[in-house]
Amino acid sequence: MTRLRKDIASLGQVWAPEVLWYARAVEALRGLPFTSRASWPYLAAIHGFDPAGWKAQGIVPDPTIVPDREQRLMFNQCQHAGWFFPPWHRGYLWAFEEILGGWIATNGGPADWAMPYWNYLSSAPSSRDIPREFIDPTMPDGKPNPLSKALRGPAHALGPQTWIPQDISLAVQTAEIVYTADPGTLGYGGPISGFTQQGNAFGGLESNPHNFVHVMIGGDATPNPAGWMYDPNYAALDPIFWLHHCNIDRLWEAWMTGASHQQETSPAWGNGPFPQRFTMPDVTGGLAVFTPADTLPGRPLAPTYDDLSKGTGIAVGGGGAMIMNVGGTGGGTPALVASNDETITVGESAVRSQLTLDAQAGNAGSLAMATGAVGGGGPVRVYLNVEGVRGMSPSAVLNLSIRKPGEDSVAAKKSLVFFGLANATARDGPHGGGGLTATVEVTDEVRDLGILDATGVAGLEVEVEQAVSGAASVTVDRITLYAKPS
Amino acid sequence: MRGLIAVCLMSPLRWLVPSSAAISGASLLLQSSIGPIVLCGSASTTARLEQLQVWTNAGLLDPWRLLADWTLMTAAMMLPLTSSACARVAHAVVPRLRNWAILLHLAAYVLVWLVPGLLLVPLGLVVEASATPGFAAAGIAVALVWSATPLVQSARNVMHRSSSIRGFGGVALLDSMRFGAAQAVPCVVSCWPWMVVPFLFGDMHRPAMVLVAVYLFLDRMEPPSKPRWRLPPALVILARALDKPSRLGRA
Repeated sequence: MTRLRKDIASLGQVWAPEVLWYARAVEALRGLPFTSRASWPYLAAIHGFDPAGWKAQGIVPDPTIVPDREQRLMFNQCQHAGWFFPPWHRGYLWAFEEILGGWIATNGGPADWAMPYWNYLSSAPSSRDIPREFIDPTMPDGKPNPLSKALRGPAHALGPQTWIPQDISLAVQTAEIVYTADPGTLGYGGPISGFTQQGNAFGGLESNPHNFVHVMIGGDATPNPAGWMYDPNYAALDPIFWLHHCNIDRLWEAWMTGASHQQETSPAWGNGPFPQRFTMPDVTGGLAVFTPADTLPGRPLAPTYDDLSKGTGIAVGGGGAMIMNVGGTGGGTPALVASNDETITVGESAVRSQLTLDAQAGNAGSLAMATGAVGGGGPVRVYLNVEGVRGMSPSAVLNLSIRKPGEDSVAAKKSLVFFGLANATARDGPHGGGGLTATVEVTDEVRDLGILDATGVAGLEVEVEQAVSGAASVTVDRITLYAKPS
Repeated sequence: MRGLIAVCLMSPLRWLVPSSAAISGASLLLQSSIGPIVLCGSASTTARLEQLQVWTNAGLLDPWRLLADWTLMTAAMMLPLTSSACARVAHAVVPRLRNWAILLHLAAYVLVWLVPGLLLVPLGLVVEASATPGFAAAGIAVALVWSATPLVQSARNVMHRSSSIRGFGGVALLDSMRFGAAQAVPCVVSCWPWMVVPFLFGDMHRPAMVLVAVYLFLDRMEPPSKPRWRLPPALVILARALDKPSRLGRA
């Protein structure tokens, strides 16, 4: 039986049967005890779980009712900031869909029910609007609407806001990047990581649109508590989380059909993180494991979408050639070329930090030659890294302004979203306190500034400002530029 | 397991493990050239302890010799555990400083381990002289209980934590050394009883060293978690390896 996932906007009507059944299932699963592996809070806790906060918000009356051993095995599994982000969320979504689909089938609904996706990057004018079914206070029958029962920010549509000026985009879908990132550069799926809820650096898909959608819906986090989508420990409680991740998953599926795209398939990726396992509840109430390889096209957990081209940035979807790369990251070896020299703390005010070009890097006409980067031979691509960001907010948004040193005019602006910041900062938590790193490509910007020609400009200035007014301060270990020959 | 092997081949382990083996082999060469190595030589336990007694009676016991032996033993056992940290150092600095940064990082790491050696070497020699099978089992039990403590879990968490390392100049090398020392301290906290365990195995101390090194490596693989009394991660991993769970999506 194939579950065909469809665009919620193409179902023909508001409150289409697929969405009505979703709402009924959400309501029913919310009524199950927390100890049930099919219950709404249990399924959400697999992504992230904050026992004290959940109790305080009345999400579960007693967080300890699930045995500690089960909690350690099943909860707080979500994979972020690493190359397991796409496959783990695919398996999670698959398991969720099977459990809801099972309930729906046994309660009079279609046996082949599938999770709809929110195609927020399609060209349709209303694509950015949060679907009405997730806003309306009541369902068509007048009963309270479980899909709108979630703590969210004020925005009813995705897009730039005063506090987050950058938009969601499909840039990553057509960027010339491979799946696995070399350290210091940007990959589609992310850098190599072990089993970690918050690894090192975000991949391109996770950075934008994934992280942006989370904070745009969760909202400016000065209210306490924050909107659920703003915090990975609450995000999956919001029914819209699943629509969002269905689209993220579809973007990955579409990307893999791109003729020039190289999907990671090495055993190191395909077999998953050793020694941990990705474990999900199944429809029988038992537990089952899966590996990233199980999520590739043609494998047991591969999904089926009605369309892979609309709103994906991929011109020819669903059948194009797929190049499968085994363990490669493409191009030459990246090298550090510029860095600031101190940890900065960003509180209420913006902080300007100077990046100094490595002295020897500036001695040759080509940055690639000067840095001793090997391999490749084509153009050099440059990446800005904001590394080791730590803070106590559930997430953070940093707005960057890039300038020539000593100048006021801004050469480029970038917004970076650090989804799950507090989790990654907790020293004795599951993440070791390493913080998060975000990476953006700045090849064009630094070329315009003259750095790539090593003429005149010995560095650049990066101004870092917190987007959320009143947010707890964040520290940044360092800001760097890495150059990689293509 | 295939995934683990693949990741190992992609990491600094591909040169750390051979280096560790080479250091261990070097102790054998020293054995043949300068006489019995006290700690890790290939001579039998009886012969080594007799030699130790001879040196002591003659007032010839050379602390530098013991220090060198301890350094070799520590380096051989600990190098594979530094893989993630070495990768971090390599990534953080400019390419021309990479080798020096890693070398200084490892040097600082091993240097920190010399301090507890002042206590652990005499302790090891004493337990070796007293070793019986029952004593060995008790020693392993003590090490396992220590590994199960919340303190040791806190130490493991610290070892998973990254540190800011500047990218170029002398400060990059200093930061790499500082990171090495910062990694070694929690390593000492978590591993010190295990460094005594090989002494409990007499003539089998070399295989015991290898097994302890593998155990400690597995212990390091588990991601950070909340400090609490717990089954040591290495045992959890071994138990998990025997488990055959069902596969999602397969009938």
